[in-house]
Amino acid sequence: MDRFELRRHDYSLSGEQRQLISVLRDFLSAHCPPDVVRAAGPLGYDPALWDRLGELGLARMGLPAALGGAGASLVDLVLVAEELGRAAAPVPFADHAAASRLLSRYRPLAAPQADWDEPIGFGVREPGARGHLIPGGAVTRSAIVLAGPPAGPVGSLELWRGGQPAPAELPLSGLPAAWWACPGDRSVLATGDEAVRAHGRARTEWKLLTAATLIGLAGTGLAGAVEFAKTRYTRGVPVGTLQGISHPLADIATALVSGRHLLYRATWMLENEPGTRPDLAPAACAFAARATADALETAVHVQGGLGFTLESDVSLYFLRARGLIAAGGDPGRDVLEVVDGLDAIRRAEPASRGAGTETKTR
Amino acid sequence: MDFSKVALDDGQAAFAREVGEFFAARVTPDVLDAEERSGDGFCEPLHLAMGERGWLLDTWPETDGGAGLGPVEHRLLVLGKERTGLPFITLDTTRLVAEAVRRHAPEESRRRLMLDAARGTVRFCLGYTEPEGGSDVAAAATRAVRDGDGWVVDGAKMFTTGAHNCQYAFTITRTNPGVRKHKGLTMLLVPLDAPGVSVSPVRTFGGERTNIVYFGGVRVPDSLRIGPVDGGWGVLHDRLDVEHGLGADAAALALDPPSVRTGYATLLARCVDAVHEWSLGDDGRAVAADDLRYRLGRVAIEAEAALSAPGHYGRVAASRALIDGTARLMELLGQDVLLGAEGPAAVPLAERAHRFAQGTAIYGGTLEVFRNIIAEQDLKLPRPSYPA
Repeated sequence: MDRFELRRHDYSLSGEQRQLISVLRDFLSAHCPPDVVRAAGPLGYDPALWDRLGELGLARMGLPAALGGAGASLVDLVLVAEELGRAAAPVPFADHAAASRLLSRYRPLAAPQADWDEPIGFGVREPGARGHLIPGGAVTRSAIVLAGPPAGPVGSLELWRGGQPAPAELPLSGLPAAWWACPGDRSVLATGDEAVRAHGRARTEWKLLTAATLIGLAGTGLAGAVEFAKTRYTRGVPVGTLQGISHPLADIATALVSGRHLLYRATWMLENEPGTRPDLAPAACAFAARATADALETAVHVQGGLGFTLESDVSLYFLRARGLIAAGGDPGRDVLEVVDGLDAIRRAEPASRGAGTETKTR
Repeated sequence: MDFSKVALDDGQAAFAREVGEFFAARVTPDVLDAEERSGDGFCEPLHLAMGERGWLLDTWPETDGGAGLGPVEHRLLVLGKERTGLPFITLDTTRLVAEAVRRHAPEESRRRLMLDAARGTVRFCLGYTEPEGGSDVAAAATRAVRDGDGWVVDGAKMFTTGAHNCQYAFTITRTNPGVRKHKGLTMLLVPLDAPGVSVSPVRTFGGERTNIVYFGGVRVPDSLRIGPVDGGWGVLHDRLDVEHGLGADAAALALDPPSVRTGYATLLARCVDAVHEWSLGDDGRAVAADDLRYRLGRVAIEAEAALSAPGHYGRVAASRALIDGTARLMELLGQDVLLGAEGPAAVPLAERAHRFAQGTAIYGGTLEVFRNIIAEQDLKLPRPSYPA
């Protein structure tokens, strides 16, 4: 790979994007403070909040205008997901955005327009022990899965309706997940390689949106820990003046800024130059998973015993992040996908094989 | 947001070829070997050849000795330099000081110093750190005392990299010990051939040769004072990077990497690519076991995150990624590390990077200094109160 290519490094947001974030942030601070998150209970879903967000146009944002959508870019959706994460909003946005965009490619006219506002679940991985894990599947009435045996032929992309989901449980995670088995009502959207390819793209979108949600959650956790470090005193000084506290906080701030920027770059590249850097999207997702977990662990422990109580807001973010990370499967698989991506880049540039041998002549 | 490749017009494409050919012809295996042995971060013939083209202070107008390059051509030149793998330490310090000269030197010396720096016959090193001082450069104890129309300098400066190839050290001196430490500093260009100057080599295990420079009653004319008396801190904190001088139009093109230390992350990414190459079979297929690929992937991820990190976050992220990542790559290479230069290409590259990495925790201030900056400026954590 040419590491000295002349490319732009423009991470800035457009005026519209800043406006979008500001509107959403105001909305969520009014309608989704931590007590709303808690009130959503173990199910982790607030249907009234979902409806309100639908009125703002969020449910269809990523859909084409013909379906009443705004044709938003994936980068815009990532910005939205980060804001939702920042508020720990109890809504299955990543599932819905990834699944509805996928569905709109196959069924632009099949579903009446109103249905596009109803949340759809998305099966991220191949089926597990109890069927397909749908991260939002405890609160959606339909889901898209890449079916495998015994549900259907390998590589069959299917829309399932009205399954009998078995709740998936991770204590205190507030993840509205469920295991879905094959229902009677299923329609096949694509088969074979096409199904695998289309599902792979949607899975990448789900993972990028979830990475954004995680970084949002971690950012709020960090802000709380910083506030605590300013106001909690030991030996007459705020604990935040101690480098044993301030340097770990500086390190997680660094990781979160890095992770956010990597996520922007990976998303932009996927959208604008798909195939050029297949390593970046899994890299951004694996980095976000680890940086978020580390950040929230630090944020909990900076607050000592108080961070450990269920009353603390940071506990919400800590537990929610763990649920979201689990829903995407082992991030170690993303790490391996990064190297698969490097293989693909290498294969695409046969001429560059041996470019690394320049030092041999030295 | 935009990460696209920059489309070059015909003139720019021709310039890119010229840059490629220039460095390919001059950065020979002998030049690389000589740098490897000397650790100088400097190659005089290359430096002078660049000066002949105005490529040392490339964005300065031709009348000042530059080449009047626009932002795209400037970036092409920077990338061409970086691609050689050579360290350009003395060029970098010369550019920084030349910009300070352009802005702050007195009329009588300014023009000559600018032209000679641009031509390459005058080089500048930095005289900031002191043996007792570390990163707290404002605590400088090197004294400069008024003597007629000049100054007499006594003290010592550490990590004056390139001093043995330079004509002047851009030196922080204390001219007023009676005021708070930031207020009593003055910047002087101390001639390195003046009586009373001695330069002793200091080798680092990163392969670099740096120096300690002693000043014993060194006389410096006032025409080599850069900026106001007792106003040295302001000169140091002026944005001296030449890129900054390209202005807002250039900034809008967003051609610069997100941090001035992104290069450390680029070096790690090159090491990742080389170890990836090493891990493949002869026909380029993936043969390495999943655990090895997983560990390589983790380093690749850290490199990409550091490549994206902005500003002083990037300073911390890139250095940490390089230090940790190269250690992990050395583990991956296993006993092949002991094959040295005869081994696969990844070995000498990663091995050198691993040693070099340790110094990156210090350059331009330690990582702890930058963590303090992030804590205080970005997170708004309260500033600790220390006795001095």
